[in-house]
Amino acid sequence: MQLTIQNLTKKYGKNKIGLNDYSLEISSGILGLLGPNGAGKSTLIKMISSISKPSEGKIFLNEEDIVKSPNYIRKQLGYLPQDFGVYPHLNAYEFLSYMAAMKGIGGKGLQQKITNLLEELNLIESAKNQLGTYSGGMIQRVGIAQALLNDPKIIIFDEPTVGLDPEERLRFRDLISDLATDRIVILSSHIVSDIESIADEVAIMKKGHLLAKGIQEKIIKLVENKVFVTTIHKSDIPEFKANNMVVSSYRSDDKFKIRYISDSPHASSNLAEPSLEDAYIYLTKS
Amino acid sequence: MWRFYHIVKGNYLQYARSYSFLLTVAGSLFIAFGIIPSPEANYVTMKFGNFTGAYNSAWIGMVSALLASILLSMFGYFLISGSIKRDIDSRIGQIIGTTRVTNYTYILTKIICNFLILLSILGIIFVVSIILFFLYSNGYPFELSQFILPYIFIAVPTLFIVASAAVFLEVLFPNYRILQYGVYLVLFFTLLFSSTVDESTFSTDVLGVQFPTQHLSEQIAQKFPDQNVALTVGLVAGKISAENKVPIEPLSFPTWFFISRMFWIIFALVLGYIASKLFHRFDTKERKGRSKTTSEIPLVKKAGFQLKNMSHETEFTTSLTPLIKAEVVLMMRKNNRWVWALTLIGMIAMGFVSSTISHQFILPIVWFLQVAIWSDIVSKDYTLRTHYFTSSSYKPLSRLFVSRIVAGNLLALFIAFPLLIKVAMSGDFTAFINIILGALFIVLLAVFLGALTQSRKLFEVLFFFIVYCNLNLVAITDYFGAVHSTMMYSVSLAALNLILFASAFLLKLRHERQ
Repeated sequence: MQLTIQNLTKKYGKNKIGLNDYSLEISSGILGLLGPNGAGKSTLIKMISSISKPSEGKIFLNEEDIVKSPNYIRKQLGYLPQDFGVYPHLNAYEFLSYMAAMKGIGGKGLQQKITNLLEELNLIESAKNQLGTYSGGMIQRVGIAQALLNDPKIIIFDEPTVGLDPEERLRFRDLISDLATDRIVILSSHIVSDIESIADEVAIMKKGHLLAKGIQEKIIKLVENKVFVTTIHKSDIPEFKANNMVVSSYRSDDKFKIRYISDSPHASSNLAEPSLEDAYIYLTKS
Repeated sequence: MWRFYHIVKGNYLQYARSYSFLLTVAGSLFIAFGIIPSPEANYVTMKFGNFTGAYNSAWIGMVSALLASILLSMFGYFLISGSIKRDIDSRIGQIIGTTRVTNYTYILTKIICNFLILLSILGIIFVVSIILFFLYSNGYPFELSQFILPYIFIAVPTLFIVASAAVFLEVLFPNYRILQYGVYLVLFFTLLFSSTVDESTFSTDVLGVQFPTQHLSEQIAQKFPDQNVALTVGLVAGKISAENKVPIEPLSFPTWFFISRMFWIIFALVLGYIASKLFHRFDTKERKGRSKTTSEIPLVKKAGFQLKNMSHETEFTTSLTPLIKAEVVLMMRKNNRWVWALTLIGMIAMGFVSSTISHQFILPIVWFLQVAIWSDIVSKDYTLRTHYFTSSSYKPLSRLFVSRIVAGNLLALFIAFPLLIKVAMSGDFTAFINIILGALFIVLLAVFLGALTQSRKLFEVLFFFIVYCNLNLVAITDYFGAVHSTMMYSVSLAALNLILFASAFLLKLRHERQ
């Protein structure tokens, strides 16, 4: 499986650009998409999933131009949108049957496949209830189930862990890892730890541009010898934040432990092991 | 007060910046030009026997205000209803529910916003009526007060009552749109036809049309005492000769009429107050019967998420049958049980009463009962936020879009089935074909208007208008051959269906390409 994005640009009107001259190559495995709000993650995802068309550029899946032939990717796509709704008068069985029909999935095994998905996603006991009565977390699991219905070869998860409880979240990460063995999985999230723990490669975006892409080690290397930890008094925090790129701060007694990025560290600072979050902050706030 | 202003402004702008509003403005212009026909036109909108008014300020001002009051109270209701539902769908309601905005303030903002929308339409009609006066008046002097006063005394209070009634019914019957429509229509027609002009019982004239029309009628009767001066309102075919066009004297509105209109405004505010007491404040799940559902939803016992347990062999299929079946289920679930009960009664009735009555009266009513199903046949993806799924599905245009049309049509044919059997048995082949074409037409109209506006409103308003005309046997709105029985008419219907399908398909294609 090979997904190639070539010079992709999405313009909204004359002046607003959602994505600008964006190029990327993705092979089987997990690509984590990171970026602040407005970075263009959702714009990119919508174009890959054939929901919107690029203003310029091309997208190839296994050398097939999916801008021209969107049904090629639709046939093998599993997509979990960030903000989706369901048909409230259908129950989970009916909804998934409907989704299967839309995706062109049928056959004798369909009902068993739906049952398996509902069982594994802990929805089987409420499967006969109308979706209008489901909680947010349950709807999210129905969304995951529909994304996996057609045994997709390319899977796009946009903020997939929203609404899942901590245990489900961990198990979902394992599921994504399992899926990625012979598929392309694109995982977009604001939660760096979700991506850090499973992504083979990471792409960091800002204002429609690709800032960095590669394996995590390569991206983390960008902040090598630049991440420090120091402890300061609460009253000094505003001034410190104004002059430094602060990644995080933790309260410790009446003082604060500050993790920051700098080329010239303050006295009494200790060099820290850099993480993906440090690299993300460094790239997006620079 | 400042907060109140901003909520109303936000609500109004939300609507005013939508595509639906543009269509509403276009429709208003159409209505405005329609209710004041040109002197050469072959129809009139208000006549008294064989007489009508000459185009002076008093006549144009009065007639446009009267007809605007009647038309907007009928169709305007459909336009503004569902304002609370929109807040539920957009999830803004949940935020509003947690703010300090009181129920009465919220309800009042909804009433005011509805009122402003209707007032915008009225404003357009008002301006157009003045323009038409200068085009058609033929030398009569322009008197602005003869335009302003009827609008203020007749139309404005009516619109406020309609705005309040829409919110009240939505609060009273949340989740039952058909019931809201039904109750409103019953009330509307009851009040329109039962109100009197007796000064002591003035308060029953909600629309404020009885006293002014009586004034017009009396003036004509004075000039032609031996003539019939019965009032006829609507699109009445026929031209009235110049000598039968009577210059109407201006009406001075008496104090009791003013008090009567004030009474109805106060009544509308009281209705709003009662609605605020009954308002669910967006706790809609509670009202649906939470105890039943929560007891059935188990707590999370385990989270499997094991890929190997999820897999099972399926087949790829391009068959439309599962999609059509799923769409039919989706449509069947949309209606409440009582709507199906009424539909069933209608279907049974069609089997027993004469074919003519079934065809002309029962069929359009039972089809109209399905308005909620067909009106969002296309736009539901946007209102329910399922468009990401549908847009990324396999061949959405040739599969999903077509399936929805087929499913909608199957439902319409199923409802018409007793009548179809009856006309087939009587050998009325033309009627048989026309009913099938009518079923297709109404679904295609819903699809086309849904694709055009991404909203259900326009179809609902238009469908109601069509049904109203059908029941009055207006020939031009006969989309299912109830009053036409020629083969040529069937061919015209088929051509119309083809145009509607092609237009809807092209619109969807354009959406997909964009």
